Amino acid sequence: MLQSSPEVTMRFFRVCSLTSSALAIAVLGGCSGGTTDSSRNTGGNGSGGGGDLPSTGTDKEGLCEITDDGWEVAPMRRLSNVEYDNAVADLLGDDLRLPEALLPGDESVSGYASNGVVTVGVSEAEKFSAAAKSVAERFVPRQADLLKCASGQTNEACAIDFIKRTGRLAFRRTLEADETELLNQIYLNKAKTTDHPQAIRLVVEAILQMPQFLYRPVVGLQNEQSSANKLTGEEIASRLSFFLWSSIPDNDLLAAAEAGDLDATDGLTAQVRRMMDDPRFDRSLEAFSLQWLGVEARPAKDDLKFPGFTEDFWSSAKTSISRFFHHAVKETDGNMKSLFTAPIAFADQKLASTYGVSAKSSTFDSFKTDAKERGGIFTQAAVMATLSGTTETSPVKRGLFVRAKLLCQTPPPPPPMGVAPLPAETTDKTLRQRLEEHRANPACAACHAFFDPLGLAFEHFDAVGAYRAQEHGIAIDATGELSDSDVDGNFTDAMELLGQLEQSAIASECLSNQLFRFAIGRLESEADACVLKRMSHDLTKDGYSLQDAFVKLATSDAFRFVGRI
Amino acid sequence: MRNRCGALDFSNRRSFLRATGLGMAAAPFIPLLEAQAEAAPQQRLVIMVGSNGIGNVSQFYPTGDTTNFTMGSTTKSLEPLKQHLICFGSEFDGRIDGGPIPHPESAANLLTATDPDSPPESQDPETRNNGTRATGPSVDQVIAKQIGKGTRFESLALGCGSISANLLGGSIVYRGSKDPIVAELDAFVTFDRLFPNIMAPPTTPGTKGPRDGDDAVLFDAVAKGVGSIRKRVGAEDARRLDAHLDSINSLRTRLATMQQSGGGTSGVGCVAPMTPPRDNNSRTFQTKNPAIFLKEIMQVNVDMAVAAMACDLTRVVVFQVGATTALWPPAFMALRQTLHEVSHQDPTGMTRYTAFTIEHGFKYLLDKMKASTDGTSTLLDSSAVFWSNEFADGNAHSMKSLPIIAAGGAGGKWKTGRFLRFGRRRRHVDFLVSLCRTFGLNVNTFGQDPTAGPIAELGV
Repeated sequence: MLQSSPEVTMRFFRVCSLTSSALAIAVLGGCSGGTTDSSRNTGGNGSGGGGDLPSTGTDKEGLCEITDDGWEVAPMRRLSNVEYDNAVADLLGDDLRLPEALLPGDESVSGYASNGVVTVGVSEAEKFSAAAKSVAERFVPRQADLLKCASGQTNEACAIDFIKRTGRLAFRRTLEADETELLNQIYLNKAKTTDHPQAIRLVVEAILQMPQFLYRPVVGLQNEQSSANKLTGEEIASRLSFFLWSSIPDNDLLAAAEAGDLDATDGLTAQVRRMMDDPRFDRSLEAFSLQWLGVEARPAKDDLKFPGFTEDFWSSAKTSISRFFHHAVKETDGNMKSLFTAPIAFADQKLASTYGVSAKSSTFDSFKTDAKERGGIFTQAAVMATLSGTTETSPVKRGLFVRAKLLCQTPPPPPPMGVAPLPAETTDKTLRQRLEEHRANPACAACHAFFDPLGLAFEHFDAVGAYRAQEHGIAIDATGELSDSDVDGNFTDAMELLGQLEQSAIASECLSNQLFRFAIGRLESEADACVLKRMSHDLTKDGYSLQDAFVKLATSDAFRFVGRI
Repeated sequence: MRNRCGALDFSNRRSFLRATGLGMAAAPFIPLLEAQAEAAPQQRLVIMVGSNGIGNVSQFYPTGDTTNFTMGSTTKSLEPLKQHLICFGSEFDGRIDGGPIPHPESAANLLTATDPDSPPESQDPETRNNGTRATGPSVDQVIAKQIGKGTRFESLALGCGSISANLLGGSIVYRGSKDPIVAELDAFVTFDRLFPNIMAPPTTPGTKGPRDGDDAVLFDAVAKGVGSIRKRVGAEDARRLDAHLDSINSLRTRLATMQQSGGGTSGVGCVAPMTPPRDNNSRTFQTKNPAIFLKEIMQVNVDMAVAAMACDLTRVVVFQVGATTALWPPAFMALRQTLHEVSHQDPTGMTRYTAFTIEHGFKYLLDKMKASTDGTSTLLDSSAVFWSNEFADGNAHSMKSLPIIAAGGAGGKWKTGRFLRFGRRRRHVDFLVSLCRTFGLNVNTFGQDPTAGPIAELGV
């Protein structure tokens, strides 16, 4: 993956950025000669027709073409830590959640927990075994609540009911006969030497470490007319629940799957809407917003310089993000633009001074921000602090963030001659001035010109996300020019840059792609990319409603079809 | 020969060094161990890997001739251990073709000598690089297959502050192609894995507990579950399920071994270490704050690993100290930027940091191994040990002049107390090939990097 020269690096970058561009597709000729297979449904909206075959060919707007070999298999994903934890809560009770250290960590794709490649080694297997043990043992005193054995019912009969009911939710499908038999035998054998609660405990412990619970295989049904497999109803249900709830399905969803309701657009849409009205949707809104923005553990800061950047502050700053996203999607049926520039922020008293508002409570209230200074989700303190160094801001990280997360443009690898250190921090120069010296080196300039200006736009936000007018007594210069996009032009600061980006078709397509990566756990295949492009095109016509984006993705061909194994 | 694995003293387990075993229950294993010891000394492999380079490269290497040499200023803490070392100069290069190497690629290459798979997606901001994977097994895993049979842990991968931007972005240990083993960051988890008897409540021999027989039932359930979904998935997913099944079978074997030995561990010198120190029962204290406690984290991991080797629970250990693009500042030495930032902007700080980890990590390891015995020789004499780093000059992202310090007698195979110069550039894979041969693997290549063959001068 090493590039041999800056020129190659530049070309590589340009190609990547062009392929993301709706404008560029026509230039590349990707669709001008495309054909439409009239025998198939060719719905131009990319939402799929709810049929057994995916839409193929070129849409009537000429955005892109879906060919039969454009599909890719979906790797079997292992539950993420959060999903495991939520599944335990939904299956057995909210107070049985696990201490963090018990589960193995997550592997991610594009920042989203995916677990589609890594294997369960010995130490991971031990962790799943310990986690199952911890949950099952704590469940013992609570069993009666969930088992609800009828009076007069034998323990054996009650146990088999429990096995079928719990196993179905845990495995996201009705148990096969040999699975029921296996779990029933575990119960019966254990009950011979101990008591009913211990025997149930062992059944729960088994379920929680069986691969049917830990893995989410997505294979679909083969069809002679297409190389794309359509997901089964149960696979759709599982995909939906982990996408929208970060957890297992409920009985209603599984019943809909078994009744075939999820095979038709109407039934599928109805379930998606129901799930988005459920409080469990909040979990996914939080998970997506934090993973998209890369906001995770508290970034290291110089505590002499930023003594207020405590774990408490960080916790509030993260909550502020998920509250904002929740507000944008659920409370206001907001559109993409609200993510970029809505003059609103959520703050408790810990964030009050950072956001310059008079929040006094420990709960989060919404405040109107000065729209010229701060707005949208990207200028939130937690994002700006994450995209900074320990002592000062990082225009490089911020610029790369805009390219990768807002425009889905792959940044180039570092140049072949090594990275010259930035001139040391001094009190008589701004970081911008020092970066300019760095860029005076032509080898550095080649790449840095792509991302530095976008990062420097955010210089009004210091390394912990507080707004500032000056650095070392020198007025902040946040001006710059956006290039390599469909909304190129000059800006005076971050809010102007974000105002440009919210008009970008590339940015709206990128937002759809980010949602897809979160939902599916891998990058888009060629066919997925086209479905997402059409979907974004449709969404953008109406201002890109965020709720519609969730619905359209969950009912799209990219969600309902995978490549054949 | 005295078996020091006495009965456990649960009343006082927080404050004492103690034995892990159950006394005489372990006795049937002792003659077996002696028989092995007489046949050939048991070899072990211990690797410690740093990250982000070594700061000032020239200050790292020794000066002098083969037998009369002085350690570099960064490594001068090793001076008293020189007779146990095989030092090299700056002649080793890792991958050098094509210029600077992203952290995850060098980390993936270091012990595998493979050309990592690094899709464009892996070039993510924040140097997440989460798609980068080695395309073959690391040398420790290959050797573990050779010498780890029958031990409770075929190998250990222990993380000492190896917290990276992404869980797998900086993995150095690989079971196979694109199959990383994540180093365990939590010393408590490691302790509970290695020495479960200390943490388990005492049971009276002969009585049945509520969990009696459960483990076998659960292993069977998982194994049957693998069979149930394996038939439905594609080849790649089937491979992952097989790996899961292998892990379950390893646990099954381990359980059988433990039951056979009465749950105890045995061997001369087999003494469990102290439980890692806790602060108000917080598991995050020390184990997860390398910015303050890197030294303590390294040492608690070394203590556990040395004890595990002395008890023959394992024969292969890899320590990952720090991590590629580490996101914490070495605040314990008043460095205020993250380790990664230090490596790019403060060569003096990076040199000091390297000297610190050599002294309090690597030297501590060698001292501990020297003081421990398996009854035949010290652990240091029986082991092949080496220290290395993903980079030499971290700011240049360069594997040129890759640092390697070898130590230990390798069970009589290595001749130590020497500073070897070759008078020509070599690839670091030459060392990995030699390492394999030290453990009886008759190979001439390793991974994909071009090799000039084994280093003949290592041997006695």
